[in-house]
Amino acid sequence: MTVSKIKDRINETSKVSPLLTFFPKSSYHHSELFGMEIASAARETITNRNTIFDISHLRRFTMAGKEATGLVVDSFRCQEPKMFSYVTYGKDGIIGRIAKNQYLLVDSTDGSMLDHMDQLIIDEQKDAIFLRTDLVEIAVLGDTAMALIEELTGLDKSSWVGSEFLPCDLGFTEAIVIPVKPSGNHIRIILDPSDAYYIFRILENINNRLGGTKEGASTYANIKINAD
Amino acid sequence: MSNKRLSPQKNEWIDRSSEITFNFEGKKITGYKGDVITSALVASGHSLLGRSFKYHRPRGFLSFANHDANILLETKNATNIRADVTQPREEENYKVVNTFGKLKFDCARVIEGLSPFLPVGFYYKAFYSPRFLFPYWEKLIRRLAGLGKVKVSYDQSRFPIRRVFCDVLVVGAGPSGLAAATSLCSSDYKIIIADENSQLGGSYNFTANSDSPEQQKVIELMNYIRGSSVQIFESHFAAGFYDDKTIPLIGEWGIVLVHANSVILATGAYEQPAIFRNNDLPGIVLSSAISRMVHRYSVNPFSAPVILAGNRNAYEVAINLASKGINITRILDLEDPDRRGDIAAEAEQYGIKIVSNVEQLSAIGKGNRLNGIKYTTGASKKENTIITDGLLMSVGWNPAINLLKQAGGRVSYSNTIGQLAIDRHPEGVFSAGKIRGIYSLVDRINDGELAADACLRFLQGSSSPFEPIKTNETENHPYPIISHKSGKEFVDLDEDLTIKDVKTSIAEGFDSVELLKRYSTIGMGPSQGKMSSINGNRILARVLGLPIATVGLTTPRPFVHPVPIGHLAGQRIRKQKRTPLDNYHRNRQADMKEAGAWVRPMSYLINSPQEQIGDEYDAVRNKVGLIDVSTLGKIEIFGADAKQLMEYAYTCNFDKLHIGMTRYIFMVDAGGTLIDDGVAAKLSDHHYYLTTTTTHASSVLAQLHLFARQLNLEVEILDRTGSIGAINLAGPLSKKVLSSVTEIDLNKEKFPYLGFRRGFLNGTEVRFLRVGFVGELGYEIHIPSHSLAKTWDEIMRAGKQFGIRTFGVEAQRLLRLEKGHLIFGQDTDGNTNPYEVGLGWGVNLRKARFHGKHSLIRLKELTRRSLVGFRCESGTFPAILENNLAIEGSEILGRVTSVGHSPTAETTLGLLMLNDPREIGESISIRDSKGQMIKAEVSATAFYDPKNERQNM
Repeated sequence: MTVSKIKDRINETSKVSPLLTFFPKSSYHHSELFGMEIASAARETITNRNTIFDISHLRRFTMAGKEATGLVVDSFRCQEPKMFSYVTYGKDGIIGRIAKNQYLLVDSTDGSMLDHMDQLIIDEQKDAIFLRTDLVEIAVLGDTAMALIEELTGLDKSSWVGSEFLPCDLGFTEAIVIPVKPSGNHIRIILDPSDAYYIFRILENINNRLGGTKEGASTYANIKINAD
Repeated sequence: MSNKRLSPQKNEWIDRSSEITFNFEGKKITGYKGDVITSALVASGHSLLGRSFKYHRPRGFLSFANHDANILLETKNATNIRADVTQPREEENYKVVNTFGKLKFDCARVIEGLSPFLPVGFYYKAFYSPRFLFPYWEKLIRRLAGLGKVKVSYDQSRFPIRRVFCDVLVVGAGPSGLAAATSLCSSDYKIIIADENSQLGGSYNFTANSDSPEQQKVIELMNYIRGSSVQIFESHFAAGFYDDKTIPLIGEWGIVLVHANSVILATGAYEQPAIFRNNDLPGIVLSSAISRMVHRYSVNPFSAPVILAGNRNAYEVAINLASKGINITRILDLEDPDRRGDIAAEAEQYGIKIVSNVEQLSAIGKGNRLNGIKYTTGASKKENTIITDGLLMSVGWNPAINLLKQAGGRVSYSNTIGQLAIDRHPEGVFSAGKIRGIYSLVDRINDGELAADACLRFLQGSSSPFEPIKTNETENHPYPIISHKSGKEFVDLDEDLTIKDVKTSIAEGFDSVELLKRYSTIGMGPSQGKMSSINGNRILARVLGLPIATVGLTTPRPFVHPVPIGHLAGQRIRKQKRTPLDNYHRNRQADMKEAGAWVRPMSYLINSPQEQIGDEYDAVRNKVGLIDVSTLGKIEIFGADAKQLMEYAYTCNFDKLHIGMTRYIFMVDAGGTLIDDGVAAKLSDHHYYLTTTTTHASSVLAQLHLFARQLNLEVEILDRTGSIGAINLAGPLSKKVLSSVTEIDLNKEKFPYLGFRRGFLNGTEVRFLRVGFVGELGYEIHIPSHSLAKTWDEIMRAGKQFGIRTFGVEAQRLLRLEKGHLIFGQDTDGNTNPYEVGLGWGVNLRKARFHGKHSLIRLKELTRRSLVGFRCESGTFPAILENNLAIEGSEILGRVTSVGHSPTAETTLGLLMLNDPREIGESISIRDSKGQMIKAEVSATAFYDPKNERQNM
């Protein structure tokens, strides 16, 4: 079985972001990004250093099995990620190792990772399985990021190392925190869709307290370009 | 009201360019930005600021440092606001707690007239008889007791709890704390310094001259720290010392939970009051309080104050204040001023008259405040009277050892320095400054540096001991307690407790510090003995004729100062899982209820609940229904040893499970007790997909991981619960609906009952399981979470022509009950094994091994309990409830586990766990919740389609 078949099976037009209710149409443009209906940008853009973004539209997959490491290294021509660490791929794409033989792949914002995987061949009978994995992802910029870490997790920022995932308990749910910048003022959070509603509500409270705003997925991509 | 504000001075904490206005007891008060409520009130001429707890005596400021509970205020939204340390909010209305009527004319002050009839231990002595008066006393005490009322209309603000980590936490930013933090700055360690005051510096400018080198040194330290990488938490007090050096810092807007590798306690000392007649009157204050008032807020409350001296500090304060232009008229020394050295003569140079060897002392009140002092001296027994509006007490200190004791440190009373001294520090905990009885400014700075050195050595792994400065300094009068024949000498101002009360308690046998505390309530008020415990111990020691060092100490437990409950509640995070269809349900007026961590639709309230459940039921039985079952646990198992794991974790045999098929599975614990059930689908020889109950998804997952590790299996276990949603399309027309939205072959031969297929639905790849819980032809469809909502809509559109209805949990429970399907946790309990509930067919004891096998071998022989069905007389619907008992004579036969009104059977039916087996058809009686006995008949558990013909269509 090839990944191209898998890619064909992945529908591009029927998804809805679990966080869409936080972004009413009256204030946000809703667009279809990678097949997901999601807030793309605020109707009135307010520049604010404390901003939270719904970037759940980035496609995510899990590769698992004893051959998963070899497949990842060969197909993406990357170094073998250490446990709970990640390597980047393309623009904002993430290849993260979440267990000895399990990888979480987050597609790049231009979709190039999935395009690349079109060439990948996996024998799902024995080598590895490749699963679409629907998760919610939130990007946090500014002081809200550290406030979130300090208030909702038991993480010690001083122990952050480069490109390590920070698997943690975030407001009583398991989440993966990705420190994009070592300063801690830019993080990405990946969590289970079923927990997304209450977590985002808490996050929004923290962000509001700090005078922050929330923004759409397209704005995040643009801000990232400027920041980089 | 007069203005007591001094002219502007260097380093004052107020910003005179910014005024703030608020109301106190209905009167408008104007202060400056930076003022606390007390300083603004005193500056505007107020002296009566509170009422005492028991007798409602007038109270003013005393410590002006949050060490007493004299001034507790309330607003519309908050209560017990500490005026000494709280900055006023613009336009806020503050009122004193615990008053009946206006502060000045508090009606409850009449209670003081009854004080001869309210001895210590009054509650214990008075309220045990007669019994019929209990309700009256309870009502009265509840009305009178307590400080402040809980505000039902409380502020809905959330108070975050932040976690921060550091190498060194310095508690206290006075001279020693600042010196310690500065010394540590040259290292790479992360340092945090915290202080309850709104600015750094502590008491550095209280006693020394403002231009002294020591004071300049502290200013340099403050500036250095502010410009360094040290993280500063001002206006945060350390509330307790917990395991692993975890210390909560409490601020106005939340808690900072500090996890430190080491801690330096520079917490200072609480100045202690003298005890004499009427020592609680407004106008009688601690010397440190007036220093704070003058130096920080530039307020001089008194026109001609007098100082009561029991130590050298009294003279330093007198000189310091006099140098600021404060009119100190006299120093009343409890001892011979010659003991104080040259400083006494220096004080006299400021025109301060010194009175030596004061013996009798009492305060005279007038108009709710101090009006004068009466005293005698050792030289002359003649009573002298001074008219004064302020008496400043400087008789001694009690080190702030609360945190040190909570950390595991040891202290004992030192006769050398006349106060508690630290005997032992816990590992990684150090102290510096006044907490160790070091009072001179230069020594406090040096002591801080020594503590920092020791701390550094500890962090670097050295075991060299902490050797701080040895001190012989004494700043404590040994017995600043003067009894008066007319009483009213208050030992504990929180509790209105007098010398007589303490002595009575001791005389009644409560003669240990712990018993004395609990019987007399000394130290049990909001101040927790900060200003009363050491004087209480002095009285106890003297009455018992023992050295004070031998009477012991009570335990200073957290919190050091009271912490608002809202702060402890934090964000009030409530975990609540939602399915991908949550919005759909809510938009259709679904009755959403919590089911464990999830929120699920019970029914859709288009009609009344009962009618709606009936309609939903009918749709499934006769047409087609759709339910959200996304809460089911979903687990993917992949790898060479996948089958081995399944065989070990579950009781059944997987040899005959073919690829593309599913089977019912359940798991037992080591004792053979049922813990979870679900369905397993075989996707390939190395790949299984299984479901669990909603409740046990995470525990099953953990169990599978444990088994895989114990058996050293080559297997990957993936939790898919959240990333995959699930729906169940059920009813005789379900195949027609499904065939219109998918291309997979749904014919019975191609997709039989218990089959598993992968295919597309609305363009999305999904998994179909031909299983059902409700006893009809049905398909469980597992869909990636983000695609579920639109796929659901598509099915609903397709099903419209077939009369499709959504159905909720209530209808589902009724449907499954008719079918006799179990709900684990409801029809099973913490002791139920498979043989008791008719699941013996799912246990394969011939398997080589599986978890719980040995217990099940025994249980198979021993089991007597049996889950059976019951049904009432047709056409009747008695109100039997779950957990009602089946009774025969005086014997309990069993317990109802599930019950419902069956539209199909037209009666009440249910499942019943019998203690002993009964034959089908036997008559039993069930006692309903009103005590009525309802006749029922034992039946098979499957009331509906026992041959499974409908789901096999």
